[in-house]
Amino acid sequence: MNAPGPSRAAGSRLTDESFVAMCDAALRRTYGLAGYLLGDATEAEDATQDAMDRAWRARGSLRDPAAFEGWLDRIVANVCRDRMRRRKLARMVDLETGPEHEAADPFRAFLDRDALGHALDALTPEQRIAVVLRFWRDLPLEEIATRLDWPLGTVESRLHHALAVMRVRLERDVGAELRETIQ
Amino acid sequence: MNDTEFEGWLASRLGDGPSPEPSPRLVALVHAGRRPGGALTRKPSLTMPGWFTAGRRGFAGLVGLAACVALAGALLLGISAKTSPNVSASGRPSISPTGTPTASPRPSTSPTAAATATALAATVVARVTGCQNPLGWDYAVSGNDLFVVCDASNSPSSNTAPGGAYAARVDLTTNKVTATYRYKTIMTYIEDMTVDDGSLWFDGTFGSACVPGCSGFRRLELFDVATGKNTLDLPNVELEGSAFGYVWVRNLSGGAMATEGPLRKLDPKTGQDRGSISFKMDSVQFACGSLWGITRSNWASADASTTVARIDPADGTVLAQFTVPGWLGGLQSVGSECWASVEPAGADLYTADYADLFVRIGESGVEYTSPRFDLNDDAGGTWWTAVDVQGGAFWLVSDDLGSSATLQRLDPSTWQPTGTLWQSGASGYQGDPFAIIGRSAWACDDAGGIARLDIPLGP
Repeated sequence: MNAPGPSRAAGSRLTDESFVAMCDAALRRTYGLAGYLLGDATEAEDATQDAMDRAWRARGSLRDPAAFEGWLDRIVANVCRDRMRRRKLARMVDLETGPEHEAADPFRAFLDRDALGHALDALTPEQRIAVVLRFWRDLPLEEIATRLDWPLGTVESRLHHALAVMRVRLERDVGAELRETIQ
Repeated sequence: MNDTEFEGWLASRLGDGPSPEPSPRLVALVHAGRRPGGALTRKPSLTMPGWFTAGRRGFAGLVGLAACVALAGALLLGISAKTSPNVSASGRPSISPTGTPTASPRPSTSPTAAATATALAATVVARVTGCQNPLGWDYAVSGNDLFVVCDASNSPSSNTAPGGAYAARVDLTTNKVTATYRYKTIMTYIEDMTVDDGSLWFDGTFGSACVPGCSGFRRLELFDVATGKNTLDLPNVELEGSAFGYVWVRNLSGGAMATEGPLRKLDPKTGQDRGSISFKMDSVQFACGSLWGITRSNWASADASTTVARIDPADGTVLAQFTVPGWLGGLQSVGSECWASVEPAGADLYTADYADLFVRIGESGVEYTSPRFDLNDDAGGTWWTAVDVQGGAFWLVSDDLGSSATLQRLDPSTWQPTGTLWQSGASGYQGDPFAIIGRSAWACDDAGGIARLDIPLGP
């Protein structure tokens, strides 16, 4: 592995101490992104730890400290994408579905309030990443494209299809209630 | 409701989402993961199986599991397989002839054969009771017995529910559970399992979290298959698999979370230490008659790659090491050859949805790369697709997350579906994946048990 030196991230002006401080400052945001991508607090913790570990090991590849946020988002999105894909393909057991767990899981409780969570679950990982970055993180399309290294047209396409899927799913699940809510 | 109104609602709804504080556990784990020099600190996941950590993962590849999803879907929903428009629209791979085939099987670089999938139904031949909520991510086969992971609590992340995780032995002739194996206290998960020389080994976790410095979060257990007696308990040890006459393990460190250090060889019958070999890779696979070390590239880069090392199990000598562009799945024997699926490399990882391919691995590198399977699911559908190697065959699996799932076997001479296809056509699939063993699929059923399906493998 191309591990950088212990005290200075190779090729950047960031010291390890500065890098750690930036990661610490970004931890809550990173955990939130993972939480909305995965819809589960426990799994989000795992993914956040995984992403932070990968970021630490890859810190030498961060050339511009100003790009840290987008750089870290890409790692988080990639870690979560991998988890989502494997989870769906492997049909992992829904670990905790009882009301007690839902109450303790802020992400699940929020997403399941009105079937939004089910609508997000119907998306592909890429579609969900696009939706969460656009509507939870409130990033413009161009920033999402830059952050994930996706062509702008791809971001637009994924969002377009994601919204279509979500509308169908939400209308099917909650129907008139949703229309009343939105209107 | 028009598009603008919907987007506005979504922005408001999601934008109001909470941003919870990370737990002290998470903060502690993140801090513990930073080591001088960028040392590796891989830890077992608390919520996902260690796909790339177990030696037998090559046999329990993802699509094998996903294939069972399709099969189980067909089974559980009681559908008669039939061809759906969705299959040709989304499930059939669109092959971009970017591969460079060099040897057998004889793939066409520009396959033009039309997919001629013929619907064949998977038939349920037995249902196994006595294994509650079987967890499909690990199992072992020995002689005429299948060993599976069960969970009495149906709540693997909870250590308070009665029962916890345990192993069950299923007679493959009678399809009956003939024995169960439990540790003396409640085990939250069973992560990895192997059977060797009349002994059952599994490792698992206890409790819901391990903060740095904790001990015994993960333990390795040895049971005598015949008597059911628990004869060895090793804390802070992770099972990697059994091969070459040994059970292989690694020590856990860093608060019993990170696997590090050499591969240790244990006597499969007694657990006595038989030596160790140096091992510097992230994960282990025992497949295709060899010991492999697998390390994925760092995830900050778009240049995903997998470093593969073939290792002499006698002394740890690296016999060959090479890099595969993309992320390599589980290695798997197909006849006398060794194959794996690969997720794309480079920018494709981000710009293409899934353009998986197959590679044939030789003793010192990739001998053959298949054409890519364009599994792009951005056409408006919500299909999950993947390719993988399982049960000595090549598979394409599509699952639209609720209303339909298909499994197709691919002909390696054309890389087109061969005509063997299973499909579910109703919603509400609740089963868990399981395994393909011989000519049978074993899948969890909606009653919390196991169903055995006979598979018409087709041409």
